[in-house]
Amino acid sequence: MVRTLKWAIAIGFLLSQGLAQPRAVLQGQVVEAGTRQPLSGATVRLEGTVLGAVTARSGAFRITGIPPGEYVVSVSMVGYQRLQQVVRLGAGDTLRLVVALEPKPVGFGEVVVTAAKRAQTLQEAPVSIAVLEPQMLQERSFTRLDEALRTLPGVVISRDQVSIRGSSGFAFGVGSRTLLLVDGIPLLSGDGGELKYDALPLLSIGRVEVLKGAASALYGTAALGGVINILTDEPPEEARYRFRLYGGVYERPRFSEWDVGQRGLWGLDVGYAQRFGSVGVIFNGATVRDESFRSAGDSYRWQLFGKVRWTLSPKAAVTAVGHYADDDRGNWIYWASLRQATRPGNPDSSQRVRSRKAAYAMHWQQSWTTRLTSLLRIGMYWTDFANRWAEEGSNTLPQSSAYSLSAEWQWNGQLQRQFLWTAGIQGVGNFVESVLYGSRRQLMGAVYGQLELGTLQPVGVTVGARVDWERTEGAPAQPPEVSPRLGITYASWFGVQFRATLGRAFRAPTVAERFAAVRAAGFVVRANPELRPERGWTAEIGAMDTLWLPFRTWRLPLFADIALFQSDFYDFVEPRFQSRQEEVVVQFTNLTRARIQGLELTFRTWFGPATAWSPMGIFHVNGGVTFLEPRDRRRNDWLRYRSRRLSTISWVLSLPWGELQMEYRYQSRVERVDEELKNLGLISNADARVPIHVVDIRATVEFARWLGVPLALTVNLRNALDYYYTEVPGNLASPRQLILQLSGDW
Amino acid sequence: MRWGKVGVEALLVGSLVCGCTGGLDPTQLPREAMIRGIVSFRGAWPPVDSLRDLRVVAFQQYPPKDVLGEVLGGRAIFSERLPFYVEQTPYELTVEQVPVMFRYLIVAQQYGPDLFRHWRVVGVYSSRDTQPDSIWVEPGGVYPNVDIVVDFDHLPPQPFE
Repeated sequence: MVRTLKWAIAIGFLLSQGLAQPRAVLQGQVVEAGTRQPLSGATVRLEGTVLGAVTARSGAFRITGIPPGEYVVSVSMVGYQRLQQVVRLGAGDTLRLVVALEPKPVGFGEVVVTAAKRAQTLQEAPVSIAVLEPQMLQERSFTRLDEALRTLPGVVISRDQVSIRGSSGFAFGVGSRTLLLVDGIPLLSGDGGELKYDALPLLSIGRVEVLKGAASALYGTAALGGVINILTDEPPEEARYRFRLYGGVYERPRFSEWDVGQRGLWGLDVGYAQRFGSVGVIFNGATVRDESFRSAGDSYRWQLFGKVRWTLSPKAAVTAVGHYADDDRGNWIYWASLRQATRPGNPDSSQRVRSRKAAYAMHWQQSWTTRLTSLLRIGMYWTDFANRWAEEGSNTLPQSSAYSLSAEWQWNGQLQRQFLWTAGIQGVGNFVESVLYGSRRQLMGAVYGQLELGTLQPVGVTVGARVDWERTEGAPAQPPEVSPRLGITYASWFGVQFRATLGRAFRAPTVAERFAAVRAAGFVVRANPELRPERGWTAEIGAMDTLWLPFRTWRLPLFADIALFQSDFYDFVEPRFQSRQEEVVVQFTNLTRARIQGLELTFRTWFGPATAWSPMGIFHVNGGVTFLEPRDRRRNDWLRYRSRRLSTISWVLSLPWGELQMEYRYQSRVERVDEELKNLGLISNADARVPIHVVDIRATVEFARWLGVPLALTVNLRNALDYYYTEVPGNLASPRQLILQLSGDW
Repeated sequence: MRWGKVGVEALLVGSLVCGCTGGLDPTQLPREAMIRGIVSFRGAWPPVDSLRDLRVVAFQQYPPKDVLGEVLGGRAIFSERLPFYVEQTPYELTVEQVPVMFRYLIVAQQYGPDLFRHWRVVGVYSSRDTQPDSIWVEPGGVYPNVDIVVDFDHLPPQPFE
């Protein structure tokens, strides 16, 4: 049986290669319709194959090794209408194609891959998805991904924890309710299930998609509040060199009690990418030194990233990705008091923490026929942290090392033109060696399947389900988790695109939540192996459209998306603080039954005269508002650490020499904090909380626009209001920062 | 010209924005008190592997059971870490829960890895050489010259269990 299977695979592989036939070449240029300006970074794909290219700065692309036949060429780029064109290529042909893309408000025509584990337009997705573009990551002098995620509507970052539409509060970073993926492979630490935002350099990121709402039907554990999918960059046809050098200072506080002297930060990112025939490579490196605006908060970090994509044939491609990050930082956990908000209050603050992460992944993409493809993803993620005294090492301090291994084989098929299916199997193993948690193993396995019927014709229906098994050594066995999902899209005759979705999600407790047993940072943490998985349902209805509003002599395009949602969660895991004898004991328990209802509105518009450098209009405004009702149903009270009103708005003015940008972020005052944390006096002034008003201002001079030099100079003024606030108890957020950045891309 | 106008407007808006301030304000807290002094060191400093931490700690009750338990229980406060291998160093204790009586003010050394147990007293605030002195702290009060002598060759009696 096994031998027969091997032969079948081998024959199929050889047939799929079509080795005997001479190949054709498709080359050309992608330009903007109207201005005819070349478009850099557009994606050109041959549907039904693994062949494709990313356009160079000149807009040029070249795809070689194409077997003769008829193909659908798909050209897409954010901010432009996706274009598809049928081409016929004979043996040995070289076809030149000039593709003109129409600028469109971002949202429509945009291609996303996270909602269905396949490429689809945003309108086809029955869920809410937000997209972060790499240009935004690099212009703003961000050093970590979480700094950029804060700018998305409905997303709140509490230290290392991300909360999508109120799904998470604050649990010291442990047990993320948002799944982080890199090219579809989970990147949560094997011990604490934590998001490590500094695991890879920002220069490596091609795009970030944020799926809002329950997504366990495709992704399994941790996708309770949503999914963040980082899609790494693709190698372009021509050599591409990039760098980003930045440095800046923190404003000294207005209050002398907080002044710890003049502090600053600086960083350097460098990158190189190129394709050599069938092989494309990307190498990036980054280093950041941050002196921090507070004592014991400084850090030094460096990161490496490499990616090699080898197109074996028109039907097969293999991609290998590896990245490594090393971070040495002070052991800041919380402040001494509001009066001394820049001085640490945790008694182990004189220790230092070294944190290392390494990830390796392999993707094998195979197109068996024009209607059947498979994708094998294998990944390994290693995380390690260790506290140490500044003077010498010790093996009794907090330390943890974990491997998270994952493998997934996903299949996508098309039975008829409007009948798509996705199925797969996945296994994840977490192996932990830790002073904090002991030696632990957590194994998970899953099967999933999804059908998409009649997408956008005008009704599209998506049904799917996933079954997950989880076993952790030393913890009671849990029943399988079944996570179904139903999604409906409707393209109305009057242009509005409607969507509705209902899905179940769960999160298996992490090793850290079940087995943490340690005295650290002033807490005594107790194990709780009996912890049960968190479970939840999310329902959402939404609509999106582009309206053309008359304004003076212009017609303003207004892209708007509205979503109404409700999430019900059971057995929420939260840290519980108790005073026992002379100690303050922390234990993770299934504490809360929660319901979060909300409304979210996101929008984008352009206005002002159209110019060559800004064809939609020189003013660009985008933003969103989110209204939340996060209730603790067991206590009939607000959920801890949730804001009820969130909003972001960004104005960009495009000028002949560059851009000016102002962004405003608002979060209403957190409704409730941990009463025990406050009453036990564990963190002084733990209740100090105010609404958040943050304004960032950016001015970029793009020398390429008027000197032809591929350099840009950017001045970033972050937290321009110099507004003092906390996002988590006992942690003053960064005051005003002035950062100067020089970047190049050629 | 038009671009210049737009730029000036942007700068005006930026300046207006930068002129605004707000948020958390430590000066609006109830007025806290301050204890200040100099810690002087005598005798032979212990080896580096037994110098994990060194702080001034003020206890409300005497004798205390330990350092961290009292701090976490809100019955003691401590200073920032003191420097090692110096002849003397200033310290500062901010007292937020006022009024309060501190009956035992010491310099404590963490000599081992266990944050809860591996502490010893190396100096006591005492003007009479034998008995610890108490300090009554009132709101807004500043108490300078609360000096402590640490003699590593002659450690004081150890109160911890």
